[in-house]
Amino acid sequence: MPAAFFDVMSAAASLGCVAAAAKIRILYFVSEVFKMRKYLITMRLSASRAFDGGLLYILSGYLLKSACLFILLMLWRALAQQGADLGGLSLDQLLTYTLLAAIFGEQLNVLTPATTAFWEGAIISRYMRPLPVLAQLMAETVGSWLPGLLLYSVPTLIIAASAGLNPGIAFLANAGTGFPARGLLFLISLLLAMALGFAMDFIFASLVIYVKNASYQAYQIRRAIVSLFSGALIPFTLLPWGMGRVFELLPFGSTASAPLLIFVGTGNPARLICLQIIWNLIFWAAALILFRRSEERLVSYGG
Amino acid sequence: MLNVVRQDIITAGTAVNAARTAVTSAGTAVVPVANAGTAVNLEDVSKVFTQWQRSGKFKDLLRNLVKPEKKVVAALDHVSLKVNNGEFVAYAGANGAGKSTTIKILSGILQPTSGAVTVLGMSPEKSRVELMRRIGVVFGQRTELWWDHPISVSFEWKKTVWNIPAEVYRHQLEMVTELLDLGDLLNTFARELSLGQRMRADLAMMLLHNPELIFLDEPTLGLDVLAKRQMINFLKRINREQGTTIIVTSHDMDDLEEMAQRIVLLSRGQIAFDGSFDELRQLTGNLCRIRLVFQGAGMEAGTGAGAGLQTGAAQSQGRMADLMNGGDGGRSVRLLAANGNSCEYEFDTAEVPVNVMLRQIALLDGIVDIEIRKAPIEQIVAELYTKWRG
Amino acid sequence: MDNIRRLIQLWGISAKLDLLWFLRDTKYCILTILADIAASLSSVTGVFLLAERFGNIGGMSKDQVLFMLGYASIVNGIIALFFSMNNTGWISRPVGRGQMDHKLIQPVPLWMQLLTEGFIPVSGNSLLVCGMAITGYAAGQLGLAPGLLWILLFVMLTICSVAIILGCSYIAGSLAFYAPVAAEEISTTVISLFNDLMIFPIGGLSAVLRMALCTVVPVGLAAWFPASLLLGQNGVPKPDIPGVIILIMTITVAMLAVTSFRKGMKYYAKRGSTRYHNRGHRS
Repeated sequence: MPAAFFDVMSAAASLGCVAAAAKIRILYFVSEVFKMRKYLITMRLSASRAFDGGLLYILSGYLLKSACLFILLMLWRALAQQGADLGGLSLDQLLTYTLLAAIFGEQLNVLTPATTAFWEGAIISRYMRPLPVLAQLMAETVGSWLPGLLLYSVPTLIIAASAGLNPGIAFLANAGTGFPARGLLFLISLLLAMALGFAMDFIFASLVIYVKNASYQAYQIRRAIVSLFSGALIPFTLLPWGMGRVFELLPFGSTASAPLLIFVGTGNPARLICLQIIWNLIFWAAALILFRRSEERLVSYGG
Repeated sequence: MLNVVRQDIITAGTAVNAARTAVTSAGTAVVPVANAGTAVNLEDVSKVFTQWQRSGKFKDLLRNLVKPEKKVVAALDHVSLKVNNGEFVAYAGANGAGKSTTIKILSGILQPTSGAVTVLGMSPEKSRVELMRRIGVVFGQRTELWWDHPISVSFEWKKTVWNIPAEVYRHQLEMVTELLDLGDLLNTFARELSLGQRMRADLAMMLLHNPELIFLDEPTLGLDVLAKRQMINFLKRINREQGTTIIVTSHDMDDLEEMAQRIVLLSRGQIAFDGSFDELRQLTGNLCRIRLVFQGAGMEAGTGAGAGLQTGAAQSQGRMADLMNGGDGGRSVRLLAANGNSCEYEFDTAEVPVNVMLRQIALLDGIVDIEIRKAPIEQIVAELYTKWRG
Repeated sequence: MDNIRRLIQLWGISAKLDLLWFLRDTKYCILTILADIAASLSSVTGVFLLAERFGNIGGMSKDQVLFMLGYASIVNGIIALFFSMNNTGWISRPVGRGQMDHKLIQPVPLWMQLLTEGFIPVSGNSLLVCGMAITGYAAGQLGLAPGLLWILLFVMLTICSVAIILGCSYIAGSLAFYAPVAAEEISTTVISLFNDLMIFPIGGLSAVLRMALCTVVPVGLAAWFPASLLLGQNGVPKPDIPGVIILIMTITVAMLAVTSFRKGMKYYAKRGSTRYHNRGHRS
């Protein structure tokens, strides 16, 4: 590895450090206000785990993800070039949709450490801390997103913009004069998608405990369902027979497709957000009930 | 300071050795097993590891990504060790002393940074496959059992993978089932076993190919008293009756003393002691403990000789205290604990021979019971660890 | 000859373990099969729906896309069948979790263990069966009349595709020797990359990109290129890349995988692993 590479990376790292340090200070200020320091330190530990292996190793995973994204973008471009009807989406919108799905990939398909903790028998340790179990799991998950956001999402956005694919500009163009409102709606929708993702993951974890050694199989089923029904990989508008309209109403659609459609400006924000709120209410109620019911089993099996 | 009695325990086992030859011949080469000779030989072996350092501070995270900070640690530092066939050797040391590293080097899992290693006349690095047919390894923290299968299925798997001849397998299975009391466990799933049961099953599985040499890394860790006893008795038996060479690591010195004839103590990657347990005791003096039970009122520890002596028993206690404070026994007698009518003292037999001590005690009035025993090996070793740490 | 006998013996014991597991717990077995079927169908459904919607994508008709998806399922099915248990296909997991010690204390060469330990012919066959069914259906729709040579070519190409995916998994997975925590799931990332991209017909991309996807990131060789070759034998236009590239790439990837894995093992023998986790080991 040439020394120049390390110099560049060191400089980048230093800039990143400053930004990250500033970010952390702000977060600590907020934490003092909301008494959230205990969650922030959990998030920090969770985030720092990924940094322990060296740059080459952490970047290799992101490089592979970038390759995947690039190829998918090229495929959509090729599809548009052959004159295909993209179901009301322009090529720019389709590309932006795919780009956003990739850079918010972890937020649009929430995977908490809950299920893994059951497999490993490590859930018991979360019960020995003076914090709510679900909140700890959420803090760990959010912490684990930080390296990806910093080292994959931000660089991908910059590279995409330099290659002529700027989601911000596309967003502005589509949002028109209603930008602030639409921007706010996108953020609300993204938060609701993440919240729904957490609820779904907790329900999944609560159910997986009943199938014990078949938990991997259960995970496979979940992965299969999410990849098709969330709309993150293939936008619903590209599906035949009006399937997309049905999928949009399903809860999985609310975890990924809804905020992406709002961002690219083709979805009806009010309708999509209402749907997200309804699914959140239903799934959170179910998650809390199921998790409570499974707790005894979780602790005895996980311990 | 090398142990000279270790050859005594080697016993011939013609039938077992014939079986071993058969196991070996199932592989690629027929290697007859000898009772004499060297089982393990480490010559000037060193092993250096690199540890990554982390401050845990966020500002250091990104710097570590680009240029991780590392520290070099010598797990083994010019270690030379020879273990003869049929020996039962305890390999001990404080945490991080290099015990597991040695076991991994001997098993061919790790390669030494420098030095030469021979196990059963083979290089673990070059002849891993052949060596594994003749040795057995158990890491106490890990299991070789198939988690979602009954124990008997794991045993069948081992029979195939190790290519164990049917006759040897049957013989060994019968033996381990009986000696380790596995009868009721054979059809139980590994995941449903308690830790003690799992360790017994792991030990049994390791023995199915009748290894000549066994490495056990912390086999008694976490076991209850009964499970530990079963394991210790079993290991002693196969060492005594079959002449199996055993090298065992543990933190439990009492267990090791009960099992092994020879102890090798590691400190900071170097062999700090190699000899018998009696020789080890001599390192910190031949400490003995004596417990006296007096009639009547007792005294509290550290109250000294003049603490309101009223009765003959109290006077006797006072005389023991005088011994401690410069009497015939000099300062070699030390009060460890006093509880009601009972007092426990420690003395060095090199300075106060047992007969002298008994004569002194005979002069005391009011003693109803006496108990003399050697100081626990745990205490000896703890003192040595503290001393070596400097 | 001894090696072949040992391989068969070891595949046999793996099959026996799998059968016993399958027979022991019907509920879990059915769940396993359903999971595999759901995973395999969902992975191909998206692209099939695209083909259905657009009629022709990447220069392939709907039925040709279906044939390619069937081929992709067969390739993934073979990996699931032969390399699932103990994560032998997802090699960064046992390496990153410090589980190589378990392999090193067996009196069997490592390559033989890796080739036989993962075999689950009973519980892991559903993806392969699904793939064969899809391919058979598509072949019927396309009116293919496969001869012996065509079948031999199919088998050879399938082996090449499997070798390329596993080879890439091992090349990346070798990083776990050096960074066990950070690279523990890197093989999963590589295999997911193949799973996500091998199902797309890339004929519509530019020639440079097509070449890149058959060499630099060889996802094109996992399904699209071999399927195009096979379809080309029956009057469908062949891809404009020479067929021999798949052989060259298979050999190159295999050699790189063997070299990087051996290098990693040497590093492991020197440094060992400071981490141990039993997840996924013999369970």
